[in-house]
Amino acid sequence: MSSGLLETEELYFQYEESVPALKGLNIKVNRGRTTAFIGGNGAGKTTLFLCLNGILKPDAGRIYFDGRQLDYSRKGLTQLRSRVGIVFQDPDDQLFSASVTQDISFGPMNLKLPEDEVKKRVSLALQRTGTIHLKERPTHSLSYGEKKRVAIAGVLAMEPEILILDEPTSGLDPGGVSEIMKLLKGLKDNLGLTVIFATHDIDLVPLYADYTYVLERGRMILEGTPKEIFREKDLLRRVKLRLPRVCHLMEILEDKDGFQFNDQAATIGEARKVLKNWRSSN
Amino acid sequence: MINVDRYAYSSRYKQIDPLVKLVFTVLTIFVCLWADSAVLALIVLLTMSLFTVIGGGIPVSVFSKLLLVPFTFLILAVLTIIFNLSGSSDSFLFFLPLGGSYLGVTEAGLFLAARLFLKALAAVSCLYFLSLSTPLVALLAALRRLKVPVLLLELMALGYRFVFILIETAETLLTAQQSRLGYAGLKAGYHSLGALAAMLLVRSFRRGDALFTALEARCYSGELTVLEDRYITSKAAYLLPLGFNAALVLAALLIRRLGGELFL
Repeated sequence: MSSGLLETEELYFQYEESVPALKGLNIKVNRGRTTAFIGGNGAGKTTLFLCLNGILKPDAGRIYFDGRQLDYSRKGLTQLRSRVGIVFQDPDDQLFSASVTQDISFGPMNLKLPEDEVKKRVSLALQRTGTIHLKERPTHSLSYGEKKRVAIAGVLAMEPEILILDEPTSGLDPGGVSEIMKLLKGLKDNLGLTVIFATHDIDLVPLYADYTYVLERGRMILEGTPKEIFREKDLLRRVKLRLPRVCHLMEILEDKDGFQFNDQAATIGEARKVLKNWRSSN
Repeated sequence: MINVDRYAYSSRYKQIDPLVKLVFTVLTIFVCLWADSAVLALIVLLTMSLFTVIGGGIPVSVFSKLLLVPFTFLILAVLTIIFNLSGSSDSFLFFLPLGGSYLGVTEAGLFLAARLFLKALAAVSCLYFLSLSTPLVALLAALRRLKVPVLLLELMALGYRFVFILIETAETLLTAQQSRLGYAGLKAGYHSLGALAAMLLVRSFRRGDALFTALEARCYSGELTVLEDRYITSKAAYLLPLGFNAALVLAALLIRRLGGELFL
């Protein structure tokens, strides 16, 4: 087994006076891939992300980044956080400055980069997230979707190798969802960024994820490519998740209406292929 | 308050060095208060209005509405000065007998009240000039150049950013309460208001925590260092504020020399 860019071994974490949030979690994120984490509320996704960024220190277990165990010294953490960036669910929690430009410059300034370099990175981050037209606007006048993009820009400006996003599409309208996801796909394709995201939107997983982990109450109960995990219908339903709509439709067509497909389909594109195959074979 | 902010961003003076605007505002306020003259206050009021409305491009309706804001306070203050209580009615222009004494208006009282009124309004117009032409972020940059302690500036910046979120949260909570008849009746109203305040406090603490976590994730090390806007200004830019105020001082001295109760 090759070693991943980011790995955890038997990770345990417990918030004070509460049930354990992570109970022996083993995950491995590969370089240049998009990894999705799904799981109901309280499954431990956010806690895991905070551990990966060194914000929370696990009670037990180990985290490896680029083959090395995390170093929790001040210097080690700065280095880690400059390479593993995290975008929080609520952009209002993250954007602290009334000025879009100043907020984006915060990360690179903390990395003690020269001012010219910071400027360069800020304008690059604005470009990459399509927020150049927002740079003169005050933060509080932005829409929710615009704030999300600016929050992503603020992390991108640190030029991390891994971008972690906690529910990047929550609270967005359908147009906003596809824009954000396209943005993430672009970052992965163009910059070779490793993307990790948590979501409740199961339909996004087959479209954008290369690999998926299913968490439940602090444990990893399923992992694999989207294709692999969506074969485990019963398990997913038991943990209050569901199949993507397209999968569900294909399942009903097979079970109730007597269709017989030669492959699995989780996206519209896949379904079209499978249905065309079915037509030509009949 | 939110509107003021929006207009500041749309002002034609937005790009001018905030320090120049700050110097202009503060100097003019001081001169206006020092001169203690109704005529001078009127000049300041007019100048600031013209600068803001014609120069900055702020709608007259907005500016005049804002000027009306301090009116209640001003009128209350002025009334207490205009009316005097005295044992004799000699010096009063007109009066009302009140028991054994008289409540009346003196000429000196009238002038004093008019002067105070105009002075206060003129000072307020100076502040409006600044707040309608300078976004807070720019103002903070100017204060930083004046070596105001960083901690204070960071608090101001965070307060400014989060006051909008606080208002938003309060509005959402209020709507939720109203939709469940939380304010039907006085007792229910007080109860709901208390709950609202408690909830806001709890939410603010939660936000504070979340913010700190998010800052840490971007390598926060105790200071909110960000890219500061640089304004390239020659010393000549300060000529206008200095010249204008020098002229005001001269005018004030002239008014004093000429004397005359009328001008005071």
